Amino acid sequence: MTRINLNYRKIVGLFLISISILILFIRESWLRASLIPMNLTVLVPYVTLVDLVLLLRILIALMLLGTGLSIITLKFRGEKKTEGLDLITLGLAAISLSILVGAILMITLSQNPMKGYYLMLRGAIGNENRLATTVTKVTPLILTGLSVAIAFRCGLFNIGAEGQLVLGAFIAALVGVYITGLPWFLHLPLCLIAGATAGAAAAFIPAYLKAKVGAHEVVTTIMMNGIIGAVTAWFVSSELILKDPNTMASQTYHISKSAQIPLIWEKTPFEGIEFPIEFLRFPFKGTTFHYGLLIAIGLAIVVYIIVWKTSLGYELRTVGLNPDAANYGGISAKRSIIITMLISGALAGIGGAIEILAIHYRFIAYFSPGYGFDGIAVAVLGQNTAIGVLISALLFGGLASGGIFIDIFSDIPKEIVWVLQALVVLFVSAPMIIQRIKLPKVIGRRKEMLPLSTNEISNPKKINFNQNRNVDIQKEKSNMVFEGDSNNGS
Amino acid sequence: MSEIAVEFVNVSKTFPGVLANDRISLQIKSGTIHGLLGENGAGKTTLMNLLYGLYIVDEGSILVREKEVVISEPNHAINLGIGMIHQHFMLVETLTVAENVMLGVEHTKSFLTKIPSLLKSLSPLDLDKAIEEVEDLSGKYGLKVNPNALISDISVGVQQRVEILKVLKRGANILILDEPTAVLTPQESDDLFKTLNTLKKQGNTIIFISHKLEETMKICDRVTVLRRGKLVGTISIEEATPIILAKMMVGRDVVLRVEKPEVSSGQPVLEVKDLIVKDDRKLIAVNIAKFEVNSSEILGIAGVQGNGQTELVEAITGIRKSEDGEIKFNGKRISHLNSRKVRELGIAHIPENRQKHGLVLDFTIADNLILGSHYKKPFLQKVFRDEREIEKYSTILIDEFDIRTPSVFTKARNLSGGNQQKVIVARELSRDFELLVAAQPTRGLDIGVIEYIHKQLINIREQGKSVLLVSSELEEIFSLSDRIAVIYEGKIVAIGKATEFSEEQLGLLMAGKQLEAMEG
Repeated sequence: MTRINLNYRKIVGLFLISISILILFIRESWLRASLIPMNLTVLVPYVTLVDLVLLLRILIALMLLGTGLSIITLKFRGEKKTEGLDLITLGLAAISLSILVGAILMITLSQNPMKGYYLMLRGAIGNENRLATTVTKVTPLILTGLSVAIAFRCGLFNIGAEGQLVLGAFIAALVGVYITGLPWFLHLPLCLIAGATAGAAAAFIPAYLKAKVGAHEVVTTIMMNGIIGAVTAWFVSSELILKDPNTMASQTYHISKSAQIPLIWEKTPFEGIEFPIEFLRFPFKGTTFHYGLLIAIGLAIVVYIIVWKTSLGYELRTVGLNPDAANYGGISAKRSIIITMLISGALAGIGGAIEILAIHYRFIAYFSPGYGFDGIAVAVLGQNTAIGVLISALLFGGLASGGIFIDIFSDIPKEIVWVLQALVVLFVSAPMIIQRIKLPKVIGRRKEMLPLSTNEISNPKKINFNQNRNVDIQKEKSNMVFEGDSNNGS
Repeated sequence: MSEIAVEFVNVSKTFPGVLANDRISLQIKSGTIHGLLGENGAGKTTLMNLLYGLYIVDEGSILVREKEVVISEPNHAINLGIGMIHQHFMLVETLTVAENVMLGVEHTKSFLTKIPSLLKSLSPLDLDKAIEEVEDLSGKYGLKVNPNALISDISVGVQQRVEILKVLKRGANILILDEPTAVLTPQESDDLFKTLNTLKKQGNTIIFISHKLEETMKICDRVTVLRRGKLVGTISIEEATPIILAKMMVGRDVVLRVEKPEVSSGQPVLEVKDLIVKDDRKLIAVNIAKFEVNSSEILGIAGVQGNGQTELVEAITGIRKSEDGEIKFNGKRISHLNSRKVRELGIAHIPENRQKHGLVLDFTIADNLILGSHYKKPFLQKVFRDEREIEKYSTILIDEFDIRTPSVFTKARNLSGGNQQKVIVARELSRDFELLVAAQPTRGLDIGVIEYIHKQLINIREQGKSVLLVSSELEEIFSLSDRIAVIYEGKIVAIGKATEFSEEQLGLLMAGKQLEAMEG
């Protein structure tokens, strides 16, 4: 019975997904003619009916896609995701809603929203160069997103990813500048490890305070952000300390070549070996596409494994969901908090290190445009899952690099990008807030009703108990009551 | 006044996949106490929530005082004179009794009679008037309370009185009480019954939800029994006997007393000596001179909740640090060990609060079943979880302990209370243990599951293992224990063979009346 249901669900899901694709692409020629002229300036600055219809189509398609995906991925019968709002549906619905609200905003500014979105898309993935820009923005967001997400799993709100990232960047830069003479395969990992250790060290202080004296991590990590930002800036503020005297800016010396993360078209880790990925690297010649993205994706997989496949992950999830049960089950909440924060800090630290080793090649005071804080948004939108963080980091990175095109090629203020980012997070977290408030109440009320569902309807044993396998459950129920009635009479 | 206070006509309520109330027709006469009896999940509370407007009726109709009404929110119900006293009190602990009673209908000091609500919410409160009203009400209905006491300072029984006052203050004359005795001592229950009788004499109608037979027999005029969402029947109390009611509830004969074979107990397994444990507020909660649990023995600890049982159990199982004294298990000191080490030595623990301590509600059943042994083989190979082994183990336990769930990957949150408890029982009994510490193992469960858990406990004893049973259900203590210890304000006030105590004596001891009990 379950198997049939699953197949049925798959068919419905696939059907919805294919319809959504059809809606998007069925008349591609028409779409192209109206939307993608080769010259950007040709795009009309006012809204046409065609644009609105297209916007509507995109939104409908996104919603259908979300529903289809969520239907397919609902694995188990009886395991209803909270209040029917599936994670994927929630994410896509949030994106659709923010596209809609963003469009309304642009219309009120007398701008054509389709032009804005089109420019954003071109700016994010328009050509190899833009794609590379997006990727360089995505990499630190993945790492800070993972950092925040794993802390969330343990019930910790790590707002300090920013500070951990900066300290990781700073220490990695120092190792890159002042340790010389090592081959790249030693120097580069050493820098990354130094960055990770520094990030973990920055996270250790709030973690220790939380575990030992119960200081709230939100307060301590925010404070750490300020301290780390200012102290690292001070270190590079004067030639007497660590500043590069050849430049005006507050920054360190250039790191050695051996510490740099290579660009993807410059170098291959499989030197000398003909490898089929050559054709993937080739188009990115001359761009800033670097290997840091692979490190970030690799770490996302590592985080997934830690959280779901190890006893450490089991323990930290238990602490996050129910600290009392953890205590009862012999799990030390303090230990879990400290280990989780160390991992969280290390991830953010690596993010900072990659940013230095692949982009700036030196530590610059206040270089981070707020990757750590965006990481919170990425984790929220990604629902604290590794895959979700990857996807939402892509979205945020894309928005960031797409914003540049809006600024250059249109009169739409580039701040619209921030508005969109904020809207997405708002729509994702608003239902979560509503659920959090309503959930206990609903459960309290449902307590009395649930036994019926779980006992009777879904217990295969009970059905086997009757000789006839196809016996209607409703019938079975009424039989029992009938017995009771006769007892009553006796 | 109309003859029939409330009437349900073919009322049905469906939740996704569940028929919670199936065409229920029922009349509740004015000025009577009407019992609503049924196992957990029978649909009693749903039916009353429909009356109180927390749910909306799918089919059928509700008549209040012989007029058909649509109640879509509690405010409608309150306006109709219906009040509900929930199982879990809705009181603000940091406010006084009077403040709680007037909550929502606050009096303000104002010379204007009609002022905008915003202004009203800004004008000063008239506490004196509230206190006066509370005194009036408590005098009228014989509900003794001190209006100036803080809720956090008064006992559970008095808190319940405050709840009743709250409802009366809002002009209710149809009162719904949802399992009101679950949190009370026998003496407090008696007081409650007196109050209810007073209320009845003054013409109020009371609907009394319960799954306990005896108290229903004691207090109600008529009883309606529900089972699995359906109406089994309504009988007047003269026709009813506990046996008949139990049959109606369960649909079969129930053994109310557990058959217990004689087993001679042996050496002490657990020894507690001069133990002092503090609670979360750093006050001494447990101060026990000495007691021990022998092998092949069930030692029942009887006591009203909140007399240190929780802290005692937590100290024994390594969840809470004891301040002073000694806990020895098989001759080995365990008072300094954490819960993981204690469990490894052979103490299994069914916690008092299954949702707070026993389960991670958002984990799957499989993940819940390995809690406490998740770090050991066969569930963990080196550092990675062995998912297949976990699933296999869980499937076996679900089968063995008859946990009713669609799959091992269902979240514990989606199980009924009884099945959640079975998950915990399955997990703890499948360990290698010598002593089971079972705290309130059957609280809030229906007769079928209680029977099952009792059988399991008796089984353990026959295998030569021992049980420390902590319960506030006297009947449970009596039917299971070989020896009984009574705990009052953190002290063991009496200990002896189960046969040495009468139920009345125990009740008095639990209420702290040591001398009288000894004389009696």
